Amino acid sequence: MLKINNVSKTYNNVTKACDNISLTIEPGDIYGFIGHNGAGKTTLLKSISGIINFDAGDITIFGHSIKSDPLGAKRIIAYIPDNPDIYESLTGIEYLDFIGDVFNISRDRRQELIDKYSEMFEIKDVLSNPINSYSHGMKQKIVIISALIHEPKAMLLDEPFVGLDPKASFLLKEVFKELCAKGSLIFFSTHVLEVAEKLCNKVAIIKQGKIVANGLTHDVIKDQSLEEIFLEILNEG
Amino acid sequence: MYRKLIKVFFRENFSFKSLFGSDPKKHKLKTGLLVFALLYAVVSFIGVFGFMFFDLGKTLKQFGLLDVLLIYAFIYSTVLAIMFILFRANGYMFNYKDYELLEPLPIKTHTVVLAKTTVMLVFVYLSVLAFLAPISFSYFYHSGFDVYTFLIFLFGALTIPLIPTIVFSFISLLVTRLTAKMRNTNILSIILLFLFFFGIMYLSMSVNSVGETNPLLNQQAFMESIGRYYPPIKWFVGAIQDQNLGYLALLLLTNFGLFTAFIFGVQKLVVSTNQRSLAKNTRKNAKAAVSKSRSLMSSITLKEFKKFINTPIYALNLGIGPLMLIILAVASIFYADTINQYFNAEFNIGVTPDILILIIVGFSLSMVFSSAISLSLEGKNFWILKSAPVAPKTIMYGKMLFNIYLALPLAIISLIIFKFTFSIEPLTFLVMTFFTITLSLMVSAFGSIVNLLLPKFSYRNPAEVVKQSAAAVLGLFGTWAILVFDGLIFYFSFKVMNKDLAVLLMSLFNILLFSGMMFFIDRKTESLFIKFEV
Repeated sequence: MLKINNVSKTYNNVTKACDNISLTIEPGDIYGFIGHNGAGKTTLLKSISGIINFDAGDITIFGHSIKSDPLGAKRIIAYIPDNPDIYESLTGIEYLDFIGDVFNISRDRRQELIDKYSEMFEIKDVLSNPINSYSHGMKQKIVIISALIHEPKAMLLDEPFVGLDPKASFLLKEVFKELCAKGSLIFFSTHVLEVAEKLCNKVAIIKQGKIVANGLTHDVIKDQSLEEIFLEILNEG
Repeated sequence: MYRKLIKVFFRENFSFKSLFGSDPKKHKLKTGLLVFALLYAVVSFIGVFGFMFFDLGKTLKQFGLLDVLLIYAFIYSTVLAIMFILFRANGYMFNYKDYELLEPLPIKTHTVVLAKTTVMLVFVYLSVLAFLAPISFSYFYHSGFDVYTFLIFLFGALTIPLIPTIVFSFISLLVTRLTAKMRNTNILSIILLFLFFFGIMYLSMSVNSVGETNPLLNQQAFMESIGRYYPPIKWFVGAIQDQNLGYLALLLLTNFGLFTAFIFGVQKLVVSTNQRSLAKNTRKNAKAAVSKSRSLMSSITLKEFKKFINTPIYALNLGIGPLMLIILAVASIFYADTINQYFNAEFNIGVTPDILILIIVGFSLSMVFSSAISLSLEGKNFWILKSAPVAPKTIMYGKMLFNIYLALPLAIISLIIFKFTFSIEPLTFLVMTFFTITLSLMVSAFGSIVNLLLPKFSYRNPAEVVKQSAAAVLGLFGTWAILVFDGLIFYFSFKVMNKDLAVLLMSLFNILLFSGMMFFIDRKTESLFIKFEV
């Protein structure tokens, strides 16, 4: 379970990116995180994954606090940023091996998962090429594969569908479902409201650093669409 | 439009934040450290070179050869400009990152090229100034200052980097084009650029060897010989020394004329090269990629190594020290007798070969400041390490280990060669090796601390970290300061004990420093890491 308890984060003592946020994401949840640009989505995702510090509150991932036990928490997390900035001097396979070494994945299991996902995302035959020769979409796929090979219990994704072709987007959604069936949880930000509406069992809407709506998707949207709800909230106050 | 572009480019390249990676208003302590680092670098540089050229000027004046200083000014400036252009013209002109942003705009290509070249030239002029300032001070102090001559000097100096810019931009482009379609593009580029660099050094040394034994007359002969091959040097010296306006006009007209022609002539090449770099060449491989499992430390050092060899500016700047050292060691085999003669006769200043070797090794190790910049070089990739289940100090240890791998093996091989060339006693050799190991450890730990305190994650080109960051400056000059301390320990202890013991004492000082630094890295890395916002 991912528990976010009263998390606040301020930039330069002025901009409140996250304002006392509390959320609970259960194993098996595909949790969509929606908000306007600059609402605080990326800040919260980076705080959960230990990339940035936060001022108040705590975040625990399956019992491991990201503040007091960062390594324990990071071992079960996979974070995928909105931009696939990865080591361009390495080849695809070298990058995956680097992640495999960092997460201490056995050689056989690593090879098995690399084969499975690189075939699925159709980049198996370019894995020996340097990443600097990859297109944006290919880099995005490598980042996704690197997240999947250590079989995370919590997957955090920032705009995961941007830059992916329709087939890869479909496959990623299938992978989400497969992971959730095994007891993992998925927490991702998106601007594609149709995807969130169809794919997520739960959603949270963030506005100026505060969670303004959250819960089961059908409870949040009721008889409206997610787009209508989102615009309604955005136009309030 | 040129002015508007220049304004934006200058803000992008020369703002405090873009140069040093932090906003001075938000990070006052860091800014203070940066200012201190820069002042220290400037003062030590001007101190060393200022004194050297001032003293040289005094001697040259006695022989009536003050114009040799102008030759020095011209040659140093030219070589610096060549090095800068050779390594960076590609990034500024032929593969600039904002090409996709600028090309669709209704701006003439030659305006963009001129603006890009101007930014590059400003960097060249700033580097050149570091040498021109102490040399010109010495020249005008000893020859007598007058505004008119100084103005001629200034206008003349402005022309110095122009022809090197034209010629070496093409050479830089040629290297890029030659290696573009090959598999290991960056490694080949590095090798070719090293070959050019050593080629230039070899040529300048060959021209310098005109057979004159008096070093001052040798310089004069050198001046005459080089003036025959490259007339601007003659015009530059003539314009200043004889206040010859004809020479100044020749300098200005030829240089600025050629430069204008270059800007108009090169624009098509700039567009086509930038367009080529946009095309991704992802070849499919029939052979399946096989996964390899390594220890975490091996994996981190391998990643560092790949970054090193795939970033030409990084490999060239940091690889030059150990490479020069090994070249010197190999050369010493062939010139051992001559070097020994120099030690015994001309330079009888109390420095024995083993001590000189330690000084050379020390400077060579100080040039390998990878641990002072490798954290900054993580740049946009830093999220990978920050989100990975690896203790921050383990990451820093990996970076330190890479620094040691980069510098120490070649240093020890060189020591072994020097041992046989100069018949160094086995015990002295062992002590020298021990000193070298402790120095390498200390340099790597010192660099790590510098980078932890002065990181620069936001950059567009690695050169901004390798050459322009405060950590790079402090990594290099800070190690020099420690070397000076080592030297002082040796100087004072050598008066009361034998040489080997004095070297051992220096080594113990290094170990002491290293232990303190490791304590800092061990305790502070984690808290510093989480504060880095990327």
